[in-house]
Amino acid sequence: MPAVVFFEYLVWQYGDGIREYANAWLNIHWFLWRVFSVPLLLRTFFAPFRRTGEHYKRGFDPAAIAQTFLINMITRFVGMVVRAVLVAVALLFQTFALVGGALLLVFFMTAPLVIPISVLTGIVVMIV
Amino acid sequence: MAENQQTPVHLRTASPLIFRAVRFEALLPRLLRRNVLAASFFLFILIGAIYLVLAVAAYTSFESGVIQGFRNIIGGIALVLAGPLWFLIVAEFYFLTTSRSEPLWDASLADGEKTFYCNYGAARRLWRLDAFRKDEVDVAVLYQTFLEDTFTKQLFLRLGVPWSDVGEFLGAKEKRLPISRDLLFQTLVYEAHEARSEVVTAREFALLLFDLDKDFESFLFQYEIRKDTLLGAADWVSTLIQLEQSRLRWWERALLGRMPTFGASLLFGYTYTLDKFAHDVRAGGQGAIIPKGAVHVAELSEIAEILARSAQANVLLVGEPGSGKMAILEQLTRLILEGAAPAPLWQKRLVTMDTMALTATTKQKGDLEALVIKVMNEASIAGNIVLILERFPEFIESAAYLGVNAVTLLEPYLEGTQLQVVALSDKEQFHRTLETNPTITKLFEKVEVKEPEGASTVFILEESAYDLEKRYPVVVSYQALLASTDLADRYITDGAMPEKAIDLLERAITQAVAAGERVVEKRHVERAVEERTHIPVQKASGKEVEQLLKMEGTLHQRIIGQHVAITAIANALRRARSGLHAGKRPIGSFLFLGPTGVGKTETAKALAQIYFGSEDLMVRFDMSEFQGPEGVNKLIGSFDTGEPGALANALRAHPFSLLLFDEFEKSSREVVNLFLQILEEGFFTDARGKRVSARDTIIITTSNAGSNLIWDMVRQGKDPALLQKEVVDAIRQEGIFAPEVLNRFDAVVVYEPLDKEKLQHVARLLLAELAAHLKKQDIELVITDDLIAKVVEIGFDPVMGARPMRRAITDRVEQIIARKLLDGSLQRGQTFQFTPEEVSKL
Repeated sequence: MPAVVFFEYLVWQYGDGIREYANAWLNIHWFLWRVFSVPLLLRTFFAPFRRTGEHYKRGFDPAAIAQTFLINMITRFVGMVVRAVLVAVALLFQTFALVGGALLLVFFMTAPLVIPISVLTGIVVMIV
Repeated sequence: MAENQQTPVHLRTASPLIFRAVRFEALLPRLLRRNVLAASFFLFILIGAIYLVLAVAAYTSFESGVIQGFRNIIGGIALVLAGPLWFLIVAEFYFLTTSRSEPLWDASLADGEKTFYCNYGAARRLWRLDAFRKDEVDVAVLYQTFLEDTFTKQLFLRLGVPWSDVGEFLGAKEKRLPISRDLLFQTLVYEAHEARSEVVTAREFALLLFDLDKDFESFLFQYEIRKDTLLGAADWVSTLIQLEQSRLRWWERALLGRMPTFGASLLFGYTYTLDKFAHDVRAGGQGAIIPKGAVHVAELSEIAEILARSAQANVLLVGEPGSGKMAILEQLTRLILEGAAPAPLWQKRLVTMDTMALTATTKQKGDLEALVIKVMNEASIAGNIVLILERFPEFIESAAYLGVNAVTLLEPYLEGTQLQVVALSDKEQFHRTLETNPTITKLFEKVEVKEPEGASTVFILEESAYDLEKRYPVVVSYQALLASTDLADRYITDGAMPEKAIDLLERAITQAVAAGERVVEKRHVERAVEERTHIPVQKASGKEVEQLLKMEGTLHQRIIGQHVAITAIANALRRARSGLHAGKRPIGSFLFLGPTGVGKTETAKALAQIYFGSEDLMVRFDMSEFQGPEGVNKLIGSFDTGEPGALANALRAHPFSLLLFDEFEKSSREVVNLFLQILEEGFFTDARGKRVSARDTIIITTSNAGSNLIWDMVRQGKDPALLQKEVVDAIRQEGIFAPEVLNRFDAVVVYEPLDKEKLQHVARLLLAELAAHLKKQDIELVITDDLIAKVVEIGFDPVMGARPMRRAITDRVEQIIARKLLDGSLQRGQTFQFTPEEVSKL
């Protein structure tokens, strides 16, 4: 039976295994995208921070209009900065996931080689 | 089995891919794999940390040849460990991805073609049976897996079967149980279909053994486990195992999707004031164990649909307290989090507001109005709030006390599109306060929350038990869940399902914990019911059995004669406590007919004392007070005046008691109709629309109807056995009681008039009562035959029965003793006997 199991494992490793790995990797990217709500942040990139802001008052009062305009500009700017930070953090995590995933894929694909090599190298390092 | 054989099953493949996981598991068991993985991981971290310390040291002046050599060794060990560690991680990934359920069978069923999946537990068993290589398999082989199998261990634990007994049963198993492979597959598919599942799991194999092996069935029968109990428990265990296994595949979208998101909160406004009076609804865990569509599915989808509308999307959720209103909203929160709710609800925050706190913090009309407007403005501007108003009718009422019309105040917000509101109300308050208000009926859409049925409640309890087991060091048996559902429904009259069943289960758990027991069984639930309701629900045992078997003798110690009546009562009680009692009806219901003073009321008192433990648990109603059309209102309460009913109150205070209704023939037609329902259904509905149970009562009604006929027949010296039938026939013909009323009683019992001989016994009993009173004052009363004869002589009145005798004792006998006590001629510690002179002067 050990030979059957080993053979089945090898077939899986370079068939279903790669597909499963790719799915898991994609799921993690999907999760990071979703958890930071990146599409929503981008869609509302210039919206005021936390809906703060003022409504324009009735009548023509240039000073009041200018003041409201300024306040709304500031809240929009704050909103944009906070969103930009969050999107940047999200992209950073995506990069980690991408690089880490690719690295692990290499290890995963070469597992039948990497595992014995790691053990042998370790023994050699200890002896030398 | 005949039915199974008619179900054609087509096998999709002769070499299922899921067997890869099974073979891998056989070669490298999961427990070993995970233990080694955990140990290697921690060792690797430790070695890695040491290596890092040494690497840092390499850059310092303390670097020496010894340290460098040591560093190389540590580095080598780390590399040696890294290989197996990576192998174990990949191996776990291999196992988890190959052990997913696989479509294996296609079956033509009555409801069409269906594909059935084989899960890992089932695959292991099929592999063990070698079912894909043999035409005939020996299913007795499955018993060999029992001892090392997680499913089986958990199953017997949940069924409350001691593991030592399972071992003994397996030790005695020798015979083979061969069946054809086709029949095996057909049976598995059939059982899965019967369990309303499309996945064949270890559950189906347990049922297969139950069907095929009479020894296994008999073994389970000892523990009162029938097939439906086995199916329920196996289903629960199977679900729990699958839940644990699915959690290990953490990278799958179903699990990752449950994590909350946080970027979206930037889009919506702050709610500082609202947050002081409100909190976010937590996401319910329901759905992991409860099958989809089993509980409150209609209500949940209706609420989601209303809230997803663009305008006037307000819900009025009406249901009894404890019927699961908040649980539904918790499920909605979970759906929103997972992105499974309708699109307009994504990013919404369900916030529940304590409306009572809102009114409690303000003292004046203006303050409350300002606060409500502020809170509603915040909620509205925030843009993502679904506001839940708890106890909405009470809020309207308490606001009205301050002169605030809360509905008018809320109206502009409820009409708008910025805010959605879910108002909660119980049924009674809804009918009283909300239903009559046209603004509310216009702005809200009503959704009624129905109490879940028995099977759904069991699923809810499975989920509750899962949570409760994390808080208490116990395991809940499946029978405890069934008992909680049945007994809460049967005996707990306050509250609604499922809350009262959950509450009962928690009480049973705390009982088991207090007793130091690890498995919560049916008996713990029964004890919890007894403690809460004082109704005996456990099987009669020990002293109680003796008391029940000797009930006639015990009653005859207080009741003279009346053998027919006593036997009828004793039989009814034995029937009730042996479990033969018809579930819905009262424990016993009797109509006692006979002249006054023959022992009807005394029988009721004696019964209350013997069966319920106290005469105080006999509630007496003089039916002459409940005549006329308002008689029913006096009993069940009045909707108009809000006055509670005497019978409803008595039953709520003492659901396990004896109800005595004197002079029943004086009841109005409406009252008799009420009795027809109580005697048949065991409950009635009071003026507030609440059910009041009378199932755990003994109902005794008395009547003097037919007394003259009884006297005539006694005078003619007729046989007492004939008396019974003729009197009942006579009152039926006279129309005093309608036949449907007489037929509803468990027994209509005719009390015979007491002759002189019986009255002598009664006199002895009454004098013994007096002697017992005097005994408390340390005075011994000697009861002589002369004294008894004199009491009978004074008190004998054929029409009034034994009643004048009690008066005779009070007026004559007690008077003499009282005088002697006062003048000091009779003192504590003395024995008193009436002299013949005193007796003659009585």
